[in-house]
Amino acid sequence: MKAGLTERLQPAREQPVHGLRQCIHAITSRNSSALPGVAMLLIVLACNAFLQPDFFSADSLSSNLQNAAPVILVCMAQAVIVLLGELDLSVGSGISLINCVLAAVPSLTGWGTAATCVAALVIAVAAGVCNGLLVGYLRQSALIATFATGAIWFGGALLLMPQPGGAVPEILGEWFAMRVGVFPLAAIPVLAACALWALLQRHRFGRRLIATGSSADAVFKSGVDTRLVKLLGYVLAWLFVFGAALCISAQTSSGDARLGLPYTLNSVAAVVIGGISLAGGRGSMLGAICGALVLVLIGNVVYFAGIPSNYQEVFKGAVILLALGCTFIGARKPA
Amino acid sequence: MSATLTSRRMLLLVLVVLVMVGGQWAVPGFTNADQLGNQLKIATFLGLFGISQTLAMMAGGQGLDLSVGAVATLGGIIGAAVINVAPAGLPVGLPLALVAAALCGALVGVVNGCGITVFKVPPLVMTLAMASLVDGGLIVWSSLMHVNTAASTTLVALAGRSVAGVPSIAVLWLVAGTAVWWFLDRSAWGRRLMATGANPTAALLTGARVRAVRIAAYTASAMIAALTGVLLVGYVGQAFLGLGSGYVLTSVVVAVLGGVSLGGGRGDYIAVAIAALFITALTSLLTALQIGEAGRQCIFGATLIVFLTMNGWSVGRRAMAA
Amino acid sequence: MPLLTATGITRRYGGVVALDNVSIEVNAGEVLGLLGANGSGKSTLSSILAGDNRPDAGTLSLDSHRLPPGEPRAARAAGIAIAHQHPGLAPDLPVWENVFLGAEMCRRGRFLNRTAARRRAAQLLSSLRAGWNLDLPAGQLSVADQQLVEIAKALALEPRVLIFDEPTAALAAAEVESLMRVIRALAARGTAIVFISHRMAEIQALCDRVMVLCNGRHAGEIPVQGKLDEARVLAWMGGAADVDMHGESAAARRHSQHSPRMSAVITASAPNDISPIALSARGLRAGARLRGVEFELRQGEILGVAGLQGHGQEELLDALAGYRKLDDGEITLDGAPIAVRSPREMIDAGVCLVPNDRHRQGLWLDHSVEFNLAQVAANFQREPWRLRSASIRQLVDFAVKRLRIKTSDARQPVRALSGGNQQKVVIGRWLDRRIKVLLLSDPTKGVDVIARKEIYEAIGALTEAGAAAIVYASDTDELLAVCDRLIVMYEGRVVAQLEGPDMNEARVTSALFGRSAA
Repeated sequence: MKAGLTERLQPAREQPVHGLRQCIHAITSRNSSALPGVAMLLIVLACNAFLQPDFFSADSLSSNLQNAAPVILVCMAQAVIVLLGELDLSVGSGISLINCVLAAVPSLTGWGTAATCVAALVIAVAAGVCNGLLVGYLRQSALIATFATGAIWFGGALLLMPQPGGAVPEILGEWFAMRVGVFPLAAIPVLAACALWALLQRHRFGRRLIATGSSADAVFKSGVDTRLVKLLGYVLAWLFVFGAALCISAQTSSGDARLGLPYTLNSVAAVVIGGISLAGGRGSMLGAICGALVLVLIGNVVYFAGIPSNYQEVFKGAVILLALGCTFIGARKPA
Repeated sequence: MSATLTSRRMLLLVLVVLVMVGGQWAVPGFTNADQLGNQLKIATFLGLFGISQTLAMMAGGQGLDLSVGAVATLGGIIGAAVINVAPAGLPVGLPLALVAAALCGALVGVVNGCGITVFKVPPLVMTLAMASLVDGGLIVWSSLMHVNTAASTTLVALAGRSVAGVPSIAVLWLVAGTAVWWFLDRSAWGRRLMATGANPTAALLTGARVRAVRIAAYTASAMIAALTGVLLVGYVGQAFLGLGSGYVLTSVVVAVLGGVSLGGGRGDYIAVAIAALFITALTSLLTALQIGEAGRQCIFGATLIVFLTMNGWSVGRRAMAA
Repeated sequence: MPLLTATGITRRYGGVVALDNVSIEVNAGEVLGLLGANGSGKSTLSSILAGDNRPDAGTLSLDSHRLPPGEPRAARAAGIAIAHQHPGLAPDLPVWENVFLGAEMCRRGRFLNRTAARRRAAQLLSSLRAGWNLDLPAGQLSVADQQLVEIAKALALEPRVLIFDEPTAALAAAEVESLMRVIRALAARGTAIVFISHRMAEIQALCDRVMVLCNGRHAGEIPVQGKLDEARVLAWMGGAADVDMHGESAAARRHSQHSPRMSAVITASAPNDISPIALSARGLRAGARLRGVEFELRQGEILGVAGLQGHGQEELLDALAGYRKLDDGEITLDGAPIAVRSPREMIDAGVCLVPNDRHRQGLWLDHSVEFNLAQVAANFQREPWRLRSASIRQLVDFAVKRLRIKTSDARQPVRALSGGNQQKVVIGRWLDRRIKVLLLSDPTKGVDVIARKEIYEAIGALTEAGAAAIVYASDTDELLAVCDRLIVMYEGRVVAQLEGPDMNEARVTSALFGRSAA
């Protein structure tokens, strides 16, 4: 349960009058939680640019974007859930499952690209509904419930694809790698997700989602059905998971049931680094995106710094721990 | 509460028997002495990891120790290496290995505990991050140090020996399990842990050192995982990366099935132990039926969800009756 | 023709009757004041009227249409809104969004109409107080401002019936004035208003009629035509029909010059001026709730802390127990200064707390009575690898007998006990320790009359050996009957120290409301 409002008082102070300065202050304070993430991003970006001279070339940016797109999308998915005040530990296996669907369905059913993608989308939404029902309506702990569904999605992926293989519809890969002028098409799923989120933040559902994460009790007392909000929140997140899986599948062109497993921890870590509170209700999507980019670029930095591959894992792990420690110092105590 | 306790233990026992009977019918030879002995060995490891998970969950705050797999691998590798490097004449290899493994586990556990209590990092995130760090560290270590990590004869013997048909490590599990049961049910330590997990405020106001208790729980959890890793090496024959990773999910499943509450403060190790037997039997049955990992994962997940909903209903019903 | 009618409302919580066959009527354009001591049932009644709480019996109707009880959405749709005593805001959302939480101003397709909402929120908020930063997250507001946002939230619904549950508790004079203006305007427009407050001046200035609840029952009703018959209302609130532990009526007690010690209940020798000082405090400050508290406690004494809810009593006891951090102040125990660092250290020193919220802070509900009673012993036991079952059994038997804890078996989960027996468990765990100071934070909240007597007997038992006790209770009559001395807290400070002939209801009541002791 959240700490009572009155326990989070700052010393009572005179309320400032309206003014331009206050508006600017308001906007920056709304995204202030993302500041550590932005700062870390700038640092890592600088390191990367320093180590890789042609970092800002069109080719390099495009390939970085292709690598980053799925990470960004799965982090956005986790961000939606965390803002809602819950967690989803099954996103990684979900990516594997959708990936294997994309790779296996064409050969199993002979369906074309469009039908395959629709099938994958349906699976993604079903997974979101399943998680949403367990957490929202059956009031299970999101931690363990999604832990369990993650095992089920993994099993499903293995069923479809016991060994890595299969063939994702080629056209996806082609489009993903394409560039129109300087604009890489790989950016489209990310941009679409951002647009959807921005749109929803202007819709009462988007605000109710965040309000529920902030205080489900207050929202419930205001007459809103919080169970439905949670269900729809999970469905929204899994739309993003679908996008992430689509991007990965376009890149790898084949199906692998173990593909998605590292994404779970990464998505949670990115969300935390991006300043989104695990207690819910606080943080911005900008933070999540920064966190995702930080993780991707750290991989780059480690590679380009010539750090031997066997050190990369421990380096990443240490950075994540460090980031976690820094984020939680002075953060609002979870009740 | 004692009624629910016995009923859960009974339910799990019945499930074990069902699986055994079903197994024997579906796959003749399923319950012959060798098979049973082997299953008991596997159940031992699961049961020991179950202890770790039980302690972490009982400490409260949505506690989970997702680093048990990585720590077991750590313990196993360090333990195997120490034995193999120890001077051959003296019988210090095994004790040294156990001490070394325990120390490594304790270190990880203390870091986990501090992160969770002092820095208020949620246990899930903290232990997962530590697991990733430990795994990464092991990659570095194994690429730098070229030490033989094959299981020494002592370890293999330890894991392989049987006493009157009962594997000796199962006896070890029995001893450990009794100790844990004693700890939880019949010692002040156990009361302090349960009180801290179930209601940290009330515990604080009755004089508990809440932080110390939680750090101790995670330290103990990691130490047990590390020592189990050493045993595992003896059973498998070789220490390798990823030795313990398969046990993370199953240890959580076993704890939840055994009725350990994620909210903290409640749990009964005997039920957890029977749950370990059940899961092992179920896994063997699924393997014998040639159901691959896919089916096993799905079945585990589904079982967990069913038990969760059952837990949730009984808690809800009790709350309403209040 | 009354607008809102509730008939025969009864609500029970376990063994305690919060409301007993209460009926209430409010007319359109009328301001009805609802008065009652802490625990009289006002908040329960108001939450039932707003649909937030389902009564065990009784009916509700608006404009002669029956309303389904316990359904907040139905009540809201019918036009009933409530400004809660404890604001229900989402702390991370900006102020203007909180005003419209659940009732967002939308364009087509449920897309938010931000500009209109901000404008309307600004309007509503400025009618209560000038100068708002609409984008500030609600969690960063002062308590007073949060209350104002909660009020604005109710106003935004443009309801036909508006219930205010102690809206002015945290507000300053100017804000109270604005609120009263707003309420008068609403009443003039035909809104029915229910106004719950402790402040007599406000009731007098605002209400057309006043209804008094006492111990969950309708005690009396009286019109207010510019002048409120305070004496009569206080008499109703005090409960002429209520009978105390001695069997004397409260009214009879009030007439006595000296407050009688519960000599029949407490056998410790009465402390006097030459008893040594067990605990003294000076300049205690903590956050916004404790603003400089000073007092002394003598050995063997029972010191009562009186005050309206939220004026710092709970925080004082928490701070003395080491549970809440003190910003400033000095405490001495048995003459020696003591640094208050943690509850464990304080318990070691002999200071223990029976906390305010027994469910959240004092009990392990799903664990047995024995577990709950033995926890302190378990925490301080020297040989932690075992349990001293014999001595635990002794302690449990002793506690159950001494406190008359009604339980079928010590292995029963504490959840199954009644409120009074649960409270006895919380107290009983300290019975076998050497205590110097026992702090009790509202120990008889939600406890039936008989158990109250038994609990005070328990307190008496603990002070027998020379321990001292500090008791905060929301029921002043109890304090008057039980305590040797009384301090009254108002807005974080001690405004009165009463003993002997000064310990009477009149002095206490005026101190409660912040009026200087006459």
